[in-house]
Amino acid sequence: MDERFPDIVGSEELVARVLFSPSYIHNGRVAPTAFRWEILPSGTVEDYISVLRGDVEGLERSTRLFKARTEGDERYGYVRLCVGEIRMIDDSLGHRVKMDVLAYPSRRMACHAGIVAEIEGEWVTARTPITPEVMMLQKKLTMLCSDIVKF
Amino acid sequence: MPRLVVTVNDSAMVTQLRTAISQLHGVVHVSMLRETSVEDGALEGELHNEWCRRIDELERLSDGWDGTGSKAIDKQCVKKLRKTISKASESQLEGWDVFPDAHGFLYLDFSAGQAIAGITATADKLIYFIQKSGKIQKSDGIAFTTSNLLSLLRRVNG
Repeated sequence: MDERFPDIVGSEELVARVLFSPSYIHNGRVAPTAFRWEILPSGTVEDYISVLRGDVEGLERSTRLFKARTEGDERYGYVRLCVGEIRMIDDSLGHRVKMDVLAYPSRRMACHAGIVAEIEGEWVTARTPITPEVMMLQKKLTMLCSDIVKF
Repeated sequence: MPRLVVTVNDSAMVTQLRTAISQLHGVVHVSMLRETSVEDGALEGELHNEWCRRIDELERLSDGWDGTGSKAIDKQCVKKLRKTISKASESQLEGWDVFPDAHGFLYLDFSAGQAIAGITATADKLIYFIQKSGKIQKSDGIAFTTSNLLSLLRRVNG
């Protein structure tokens, strides 16, 4: 049965960032670089960091659709973050920041959402150069990860 | 079990040598037993070994390791990081970890108490931020040289 999610992502919700590569976790620490804006195979430049909504059972169902990105790799797992805490990030190295989590449901995945970020009014996308401010945002996201769940 | 002891005069060779030896048929285990002097008189130890193992692991990532468009780690970047690590003291490496970046770069991540720092190492530059004791230091890019990276490690852990 298809799960349905409200159009607005609630601040009380937890979202999961799926980590496909085991290299993103080392010594119990999550890589800031695991929170990345991607350029999709279609050429689409993402302006959000993909995350999934839902409870653990729902996540397990959704992620069964995923394949390992490197042959031989097993799926690693996911980390969870509280949406309200993401929205409270408002500064990066002295720059004004606005962060949000928006619903981006797809036909395959009703639970799909994205973390979006604006630094001094500029949306961060996969084309944004690496800057200390972007790195700091990624670091702050890792500091909100409550747990590392292995599949 | 017979053992072979190899003495080298350049610590930068150690990782390559260890990788090469470990690939030989019949080698059961390779470990570094000899203490080697580094720049500031510290001794190589377990932390250096762990860094070498981790860099070896990241160097093996091939294109596509994190999906379409993700790149293998730049060889020049790996080489420079190895050289820097061989010259760093154990205390300078504490609290740091190294991760891959899908652009083919390496990311050095630091956390200790309230202090945090991040360094993106590309083939030729270092992009960094350091937030420590309420102060912020950052740069959009300085040259990736051994002395610049050692200086950053010292600023964080000095």
